[in-house]
Amino acid sequence: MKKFKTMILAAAMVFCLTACGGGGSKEVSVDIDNLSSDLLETVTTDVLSQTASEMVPSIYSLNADDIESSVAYASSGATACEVAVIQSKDSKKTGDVEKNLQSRVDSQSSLYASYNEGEVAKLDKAIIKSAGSYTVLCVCDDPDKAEDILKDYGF
Amino acid sequence: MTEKRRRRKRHDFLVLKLVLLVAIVLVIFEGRLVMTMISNSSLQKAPNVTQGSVSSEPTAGLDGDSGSSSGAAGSKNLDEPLAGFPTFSLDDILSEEPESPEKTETEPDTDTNVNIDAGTKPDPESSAIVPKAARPVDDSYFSDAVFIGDSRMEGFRNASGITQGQFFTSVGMSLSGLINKPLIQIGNENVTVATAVSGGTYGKIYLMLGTNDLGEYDLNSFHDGFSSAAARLLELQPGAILYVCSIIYVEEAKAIPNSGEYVNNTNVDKLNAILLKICEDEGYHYIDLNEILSNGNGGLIEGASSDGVHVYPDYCKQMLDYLKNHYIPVDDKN
Repeated sequence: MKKFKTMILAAAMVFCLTACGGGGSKEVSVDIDNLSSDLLETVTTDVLSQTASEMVPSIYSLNADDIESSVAYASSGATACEVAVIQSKDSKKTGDVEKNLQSRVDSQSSLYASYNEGEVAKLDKAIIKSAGSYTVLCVCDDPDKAEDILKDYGF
Repeated sequence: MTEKRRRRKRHDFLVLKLVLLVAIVLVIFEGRLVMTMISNSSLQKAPNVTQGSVSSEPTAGLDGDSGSSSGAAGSKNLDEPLAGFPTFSLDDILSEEPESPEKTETEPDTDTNVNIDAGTKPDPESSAIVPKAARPVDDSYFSDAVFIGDSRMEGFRNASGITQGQFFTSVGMSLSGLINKPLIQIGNENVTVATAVSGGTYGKIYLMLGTNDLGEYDLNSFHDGFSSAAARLLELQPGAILYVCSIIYVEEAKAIPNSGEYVNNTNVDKLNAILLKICEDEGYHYIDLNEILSNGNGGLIEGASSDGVHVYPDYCKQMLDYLKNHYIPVDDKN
């Protein structure tokens, strides 16, 4: 009996440790075209246009080889608004994607501070979130609505 | 008594086994994390710029690279000088005068006294203006091109549908910013344009600057600064075709209230006249985007922009089409 208890205890410890190393990633399947299209509704001060997917790695400083698929909508330069949904080949890479998206937001924020200060507030509320192998960046006019949309998609 | 001892011994053995099991699990899982942390930190130390993307893979075999110009942008460690170049700081290349007092082919004539009056416009007959080619190129023409510029160039990248080429752009980029400021995001750090450009090998350079310099009243300073920056970029990318894009007209009724009195088309014409003169003097190639974006009266087409400066996607697409139809065949680049 004691041996059985010890085995159970050991199994529980192994389970806990495994859970710690896993990053807590969820199994999520997202239609990135639909998600980005829904998020576009949160941009009201600009008309964003879809950027060629070949340009996405360069814009966000990502390694093209790590990206499964992506959709990005960006401004013609008038505002800081942008929406990007990136699916990584490996869900463990989403942390790195988030870091680079955050660097992009920080960089934009410092540039807009001396160029068009009104846009900095949007960048301050930029949403960067991951679920499964997907990572989203949303710089928009209605971040609360964007959060609700993301929640519906499992973020 | 002996039985009790035997049991205790067995329990001790079980505890030992348990501790060993936990240790193995810790080594496997936490060891993986430690390895990830180590590899991440080493990758961040050596960001590489590659065509159309930034690679976080470590640089291998570049030390022995002879720097052959393959046409496509190669990948080089940003901290390393270009092959064949002396080992000086690349930022310094842009900020310091050349050591040799002798003028080279690409050195600007900084003694030029620019004589631009109000009302001066670029000469539409100038030989430096790139004429329409016999047939258009496709996007692959831009595969070895680097596009450098301000928010208008960034908007072009975002909205034109262009699929190839490396863009080093930032909102608010001005001539002084081009030289001194770390405006370009590479990985998780910002670097100067010079450092970014030095990370690849390019056959074409497209420069779109000047909108944020419209308030520059010292025209000689603009002339000399632009000439110097262009020449330095060509030092970094010898053999590249340098295209200087005209400053696109603004819609004054929107631009002036949004951006200031100085954002007007008289100033656009003045700076464009300087850019065209530099192209004529130095053998660069002037891309006259106002040929398609002008309203015919020296201003931006009405309704082409929400703020009078940044043109809508349809016009960005027209710009791409213009670039595909206005280029220098590789054989006659000079």
